[in-house]
Amino acid sequence: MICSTVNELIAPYIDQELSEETLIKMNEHFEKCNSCRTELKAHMGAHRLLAEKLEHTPVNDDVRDKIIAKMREQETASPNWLFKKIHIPLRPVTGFAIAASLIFGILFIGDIVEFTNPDNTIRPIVINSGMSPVMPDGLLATVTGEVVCVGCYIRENYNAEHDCDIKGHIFGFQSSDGNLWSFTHNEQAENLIKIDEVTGKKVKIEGKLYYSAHFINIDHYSIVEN
Amino acid sequence: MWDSIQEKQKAFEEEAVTHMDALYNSALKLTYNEDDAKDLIQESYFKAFRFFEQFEPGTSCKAWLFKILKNTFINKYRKKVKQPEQVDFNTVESFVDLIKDKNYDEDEALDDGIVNSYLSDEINEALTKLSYEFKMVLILSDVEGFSYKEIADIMDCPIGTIRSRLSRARKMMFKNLLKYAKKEGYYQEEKD
Repeated sequence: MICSTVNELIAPYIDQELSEETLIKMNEHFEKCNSCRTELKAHMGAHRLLAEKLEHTPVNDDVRDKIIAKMREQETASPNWLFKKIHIPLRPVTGFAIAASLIFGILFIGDIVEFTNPDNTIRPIVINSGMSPVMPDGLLATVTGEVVCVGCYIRENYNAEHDCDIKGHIFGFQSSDGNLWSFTHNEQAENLIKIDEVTGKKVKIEGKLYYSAHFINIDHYSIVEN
Repeated sequence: MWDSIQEKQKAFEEEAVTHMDALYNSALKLTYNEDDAKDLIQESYFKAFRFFEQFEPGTSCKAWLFKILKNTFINKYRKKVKQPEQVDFNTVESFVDLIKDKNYDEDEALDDGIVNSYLSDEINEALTKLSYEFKMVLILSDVEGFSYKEIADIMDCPIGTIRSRLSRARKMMFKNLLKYAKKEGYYQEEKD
């Protein structure tokens, strides 16, 4: 094992996150290498110092009681109307209204676009078909824009019901022309949505655009300095 | 799952409310402000209670709560909290370099009383210098004792990223606290 590898693995060594095989190799290295041993001692010191001396402030009882009380209030006060059966007599006019809304829905329903989640599941989202395809699919192109949470975006802009705090973010890409895109599953896309550093930064993506479905197959991406 | 609201409340209080101290402590270190920390845990707990059906029994409720706390913080408070200047970690390559640094090699005379009374403040001060990503992994690992896998899940990051952030965060803290670390016996130089 070389020093640079050992140095990278010191944190997981201390936190007992290494396999036994790697652990043995690390121990062998520490026996021989003075510099890495010093590095280890210092790293262990920092870890111990933080674990022992970082101040722990418990929540005071008043706050705890207040939260519990509010939670109970919230629950007892919450309306049950969602679970009540709604009886609407089906008169001819109501039937006409339902049929009209169905036709309207079919005509105006948008492209079904899938956005990847951090946990690699896929959720279909229907977005406005105003973004009709005008380009051939599979075109190699470079687009700039921002990685955005589509859930947050439609919640903020269209009051859509979406709770990212619980379900996690649904990452997509908003190109500088305002269009929203999803990523096909590949390593590049996976890396891009997992790094916090891209938040709020302009990103340049090179890849194939599937305009009809608003998917990008990323070949390469880079963060553009503002 | 539960036959009544009372049963849900009871289960939630047993399973989730017990972790409130840990969540508040972390919220305080993220927001630097008691009122914001209280609001943050209150909002996180309301959400957790509302969606408690989605918590999978047998998994770590504490990790689930921390994930909600982290997402709530990012969505609501991160913009509000003044972010520290980004640290250039290329200047903090190794602990060995830090120790060799003349500025930190000085055997400063520190009074024992002063060390004890100011150490906690110094640590908190050093913590405020870390950006959210580094601070959060440090809290989750060194204070709360989560495994790398749990931290990766809470932070929505690969384990490799957690490993390197943790290593860098500890170096940064060590850099700011070296004189205390030496004085308090957390680090002793090897005699040649």
